[in-house]
Amino acid sequence: MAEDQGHRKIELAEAHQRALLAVGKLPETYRQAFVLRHLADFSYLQIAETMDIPANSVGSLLLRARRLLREELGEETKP
Amino acid sequence: MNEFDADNLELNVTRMLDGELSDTERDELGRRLLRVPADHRLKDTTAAVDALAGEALREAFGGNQNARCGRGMIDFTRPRRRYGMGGAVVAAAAILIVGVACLAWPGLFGIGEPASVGHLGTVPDTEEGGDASAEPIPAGAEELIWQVWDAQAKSHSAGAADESVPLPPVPGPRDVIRQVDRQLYRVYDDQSQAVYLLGVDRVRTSVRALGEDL
Repeated sequence: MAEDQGHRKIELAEAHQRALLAVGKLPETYRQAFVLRHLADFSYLQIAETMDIPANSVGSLLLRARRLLREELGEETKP
Repeated sequence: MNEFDADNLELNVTRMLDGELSDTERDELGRRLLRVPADHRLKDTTAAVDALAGEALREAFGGNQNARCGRGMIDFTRPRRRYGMGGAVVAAAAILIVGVACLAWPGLFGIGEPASVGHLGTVPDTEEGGDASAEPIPAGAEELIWQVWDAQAKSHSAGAADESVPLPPVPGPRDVIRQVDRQLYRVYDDQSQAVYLLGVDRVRTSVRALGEDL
């Protein structure tokens, strides 16, 4: 039981590591938007102001970021 | 489903994950996801990947979902107003300035190693007397970072990311207190092999009449 938990912990840590590397590979603007969304919990409007871009572009940036992350990490999330 | 539909679906899924859909849009998307299993799978995978990456980022920075507004993370709560005793008026204005700087400084953070994203810490700074131009002088590695930041970084400073509350007029002699709480985050860019710094300043300015107790 404890061993299983240990394995799960290691697997999760490895998954996090791969996720961080995948975020690091994102193109700059995608990564900025993604980091501001997740770490700063910014709304689209706040991200737009911070990055000095139109508010309606933020959704597209995050869409593309998530699309790339899905391509990179999709397998990680399969049960 | 044509390309436009596919993009539109993904955009709506993204906006849903970020809580940016209206109730009507959310209901509409929900119905579509129920109707089309492939779309539902796309939503599930996107949500799972997003959650994994978000969790990884927050863990790397020493926080978690429940502690987002805690000391270790960034507090983006609205500006608060405080009213002191005896009618003394104190206003707190929170202004966020977010800068992203690209530092081509290989080796500083162990570039290329897996643990290449992390939190550099907090640099609190308190000034009294209303001098808004002074910068904190952090020690050690952070001092180096700030030297590079100031001198040569391709830095983008944003304006206030939160509303600022105008300071109330306080007649007569007064103290202006400006408190800066700076947090630094680093994110490694695999492609350019550079470390990006994300600096977040929380600036609180308050004013009080001289001689008043807070």
